[in-house]
Amino acid sequence: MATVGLMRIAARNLRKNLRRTLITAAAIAGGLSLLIWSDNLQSGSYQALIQTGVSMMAGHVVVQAEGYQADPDMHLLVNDEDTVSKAVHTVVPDARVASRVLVQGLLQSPRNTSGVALVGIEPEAESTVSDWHTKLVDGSEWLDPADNKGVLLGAKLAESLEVEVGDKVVLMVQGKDEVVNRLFRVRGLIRTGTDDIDGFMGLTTLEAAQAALEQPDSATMVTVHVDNPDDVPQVQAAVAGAMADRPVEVLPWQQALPEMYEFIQLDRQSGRMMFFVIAIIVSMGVLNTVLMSVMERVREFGVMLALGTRPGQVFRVILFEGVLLGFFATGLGLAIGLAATWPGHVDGIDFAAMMGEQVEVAGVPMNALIYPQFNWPGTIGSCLLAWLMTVLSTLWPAWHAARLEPVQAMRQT
Amino acid sequence: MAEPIVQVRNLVRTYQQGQIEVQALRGVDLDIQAGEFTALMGPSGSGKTTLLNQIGALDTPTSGSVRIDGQELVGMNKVARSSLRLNRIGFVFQAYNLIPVLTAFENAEFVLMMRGVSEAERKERVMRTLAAVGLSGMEHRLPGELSGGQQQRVAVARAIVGEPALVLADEPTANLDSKTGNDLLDLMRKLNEDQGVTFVFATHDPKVMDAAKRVVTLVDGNIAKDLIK
Repeated sequence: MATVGLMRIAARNLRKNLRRTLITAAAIAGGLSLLIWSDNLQSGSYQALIQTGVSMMAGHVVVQAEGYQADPDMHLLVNDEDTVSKAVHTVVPDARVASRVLVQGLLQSPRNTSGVALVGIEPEAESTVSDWHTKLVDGSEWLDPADNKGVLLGAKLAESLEVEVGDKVVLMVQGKDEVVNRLFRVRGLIRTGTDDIDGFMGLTTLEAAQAALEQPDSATMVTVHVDNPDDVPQVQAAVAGAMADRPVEVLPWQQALPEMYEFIQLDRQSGRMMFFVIAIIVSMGVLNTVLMSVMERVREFGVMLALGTRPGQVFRVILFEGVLLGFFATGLGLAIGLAATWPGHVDGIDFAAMMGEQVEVAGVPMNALIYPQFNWPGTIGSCLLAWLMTVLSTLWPAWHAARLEPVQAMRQT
Repeated sequence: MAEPIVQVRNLVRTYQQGQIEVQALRGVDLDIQAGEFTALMGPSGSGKTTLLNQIGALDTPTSGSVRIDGQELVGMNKVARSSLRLNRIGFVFQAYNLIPVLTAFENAEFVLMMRGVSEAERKERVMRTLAAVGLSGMEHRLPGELSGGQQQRVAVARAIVGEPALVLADEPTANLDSKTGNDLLDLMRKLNEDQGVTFVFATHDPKVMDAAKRVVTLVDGNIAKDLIK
């Protein structure tokens, strides 16, 4: 019952100094909304990065020859890729599956020679799992599954080879037994905005790549793509179960693309550091305001103590002020943060002016149009922390008030 | 004779003011019986307020003994002293000292609320007490919306609503005009006579001294005269 009375005093004090309360709440809400918005933006960019990276460089889950991740030798292949692919389909029927063969060799044009990472793909399946087909430069055409002489080259690679669409190039590669030379015709150019890709990569059909390695029916990786990335652990387990009797490794994207995963983890950590810095700055502001408010009311607390209010109860009055202020400011910050996220979530935020049309993050091409995503665990965590920091900021002023001696306190004007 | 409600023995209170030691009380002995209407008078610095603070468990003595309703205050911890003040003593201060964010009703209700009295009982007792001090109809006003006299009446209501063993009033009429001061004094005398509330005042006000049934005069921290009318 006394608690109700103490809360009433706390609430009235906040209302009495409405302007100060609103300014303090606005500072907390401003910091919190900025955190929520930037966290959602970060989540959106990670999702885009994961989506692009996973789809173009690996899969949500990949099946590779045993030991390939540790030593990516291009002759270390998954045999019977078609059977493996079908087996994967059987255990995860909703997933999209595409096989790829990676060939590293030299590409020669009549005028120049360059190293190349040629990826053999299934053109139809690939266009359902990745964005390669959207990266074609004008005048290019997507690969025809039946065209085993067709190749798509990175725009910069084509530049260094001084070739255009329609020109011929020769791939020289170490096959299974001997050096293989294969003639290709350039069907198109690819531009992702990533130098490593545009200057070094090419795409051809799966069969052409298998032929270059003299390893028919094999694949460097069978990639599995799911709609919901949260399903990855279950999908990985199901695929691993189906592959138990084969000499393969079944990896989630986090292990297949460790650099990208570590980049995201590191970036998240730096985001959290920023989060704590903002939280501490805001807390200092709250502490200052609450302490000032306590100093102004020393006489009032002295009266309360004189009337028989216990020191702990005076402590609680100020703590309640922090609790109530925290609820109000957190609610306000949450509303502003979500409202600020919404337009970008729907229409995207275009960072092209700052970063160019395409940017490279951790070796992955990323679109400059980023769609912030509602990261609810992060948002709830931010709200809890903002509320907690507000309450914690009141502890010292509360302790100060609780230690007052009534006679001295009542002498203060 | 019943045990005194206030029993002070050889009470000494010394303050340190910079390098100087000030002896505010120099071995005071005083008994106050239940139902008394006692004024502590004396010039400024004579120790009236210091003595009142000792009796009210608001301060700790340098030496000596203070017993309220049989309970020894010396050696009592902070929480026990708070509890004693809450349950046994009412206070009226010179500057009213109402809680500014609470209405007249809520200020008077505060002590009962801290004691954990039920809402229905609180309401009944507060309304009755506010009526007794002449503040019916002003329950919902904040202290800032009341005159000085009305604020002091709220303070009196707050002091007596919990039916304490003792009400201590430090210069209760000092900030009031003559008529308002007289009205308040009449009110407290009536409460003393009708309800048997024990009042102890620290005062300079001749009207309070006239109204008091006992006047204790303090000079330089000692009781110089104890006059029972």
